[in-house]
Amino acid sequence: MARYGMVIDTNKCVGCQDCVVACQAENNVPEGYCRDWITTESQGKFPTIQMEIRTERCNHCTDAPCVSCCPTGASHYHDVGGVVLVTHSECIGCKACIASCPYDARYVHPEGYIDKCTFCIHRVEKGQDPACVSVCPTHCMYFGDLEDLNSEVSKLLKSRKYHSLIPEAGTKPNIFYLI
Amino acid sequence: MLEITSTRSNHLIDPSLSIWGWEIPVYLFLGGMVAGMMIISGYFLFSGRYKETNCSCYYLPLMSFVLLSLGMLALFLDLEHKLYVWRLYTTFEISSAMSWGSWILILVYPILLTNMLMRPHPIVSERISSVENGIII
Repeated sequence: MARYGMVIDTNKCVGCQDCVVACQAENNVPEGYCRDWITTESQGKFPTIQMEIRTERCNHCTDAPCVSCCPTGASHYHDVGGVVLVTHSECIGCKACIASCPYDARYVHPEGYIDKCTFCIHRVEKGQDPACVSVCPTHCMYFGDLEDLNSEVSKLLKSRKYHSLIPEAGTKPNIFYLI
Repeated sequence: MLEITSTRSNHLIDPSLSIWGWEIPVYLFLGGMVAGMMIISGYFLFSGRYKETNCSCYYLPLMSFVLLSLGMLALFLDLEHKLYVWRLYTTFEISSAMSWGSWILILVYPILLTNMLMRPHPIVSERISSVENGIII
């Protein structure tokens, strides 16, 4: 069974926010909200300072706490690729999923339901990449099936060093950052 | 030194998570109080204290009923998609504490009602028996 994931090369990401704008345009994200965003992490002391720029979004965790805590089953794993989605007509807006998400990747849509990144599943099902991946000017983002050993994402994870975000949460995130 | 900056600024999420307002603490307080009242009224019921005419066991189930309803109203007010609240009762999600809670709350109502009817207040009992005997008070 496919398991969709994303690999992001932090050496290539320049934080231009093209992915953010593409997502907002593609998914009609309301003004003032975002499904993906840019994080800049600096650590160390001059002159040995290190900086990582990365684009973040829902990690579509394999053991997603947002899915297990949802009282109505609105948050669920999609049949295709195990992508975590929210059925708007089943969501009561209790915000339990927002509280449980270690990545703060969800928000309350002005219409009342909870919204988040969908990996642009409507595009993926047509064989296209998610909007953020397709517009990235530095090609720092890769999308594919992590279970397929011949996919580009699997090959990158085999050949490069990487990390995921908040692995100690135990949610098995499916977005990996190449370092 | 570690410095993290983010361009995200979602309402209620940033700069700090603040998704639940006064409604949840009010519900938790009232829910906890009702649970305690149910335990006390259960003790009164099975220990024979209900035989005393001034026993609070006659009032506790009714008070619990009202307070729990207020707590549930607070919970309802907290929902962002209020018209879909019925969705809670179209499924039971075993891993969701909130699903357990919503079903338990529904089950508590008939228990409170049964508790009220099992030991009605002496005034109510007298009135019922008077009506049964054809005496209108």
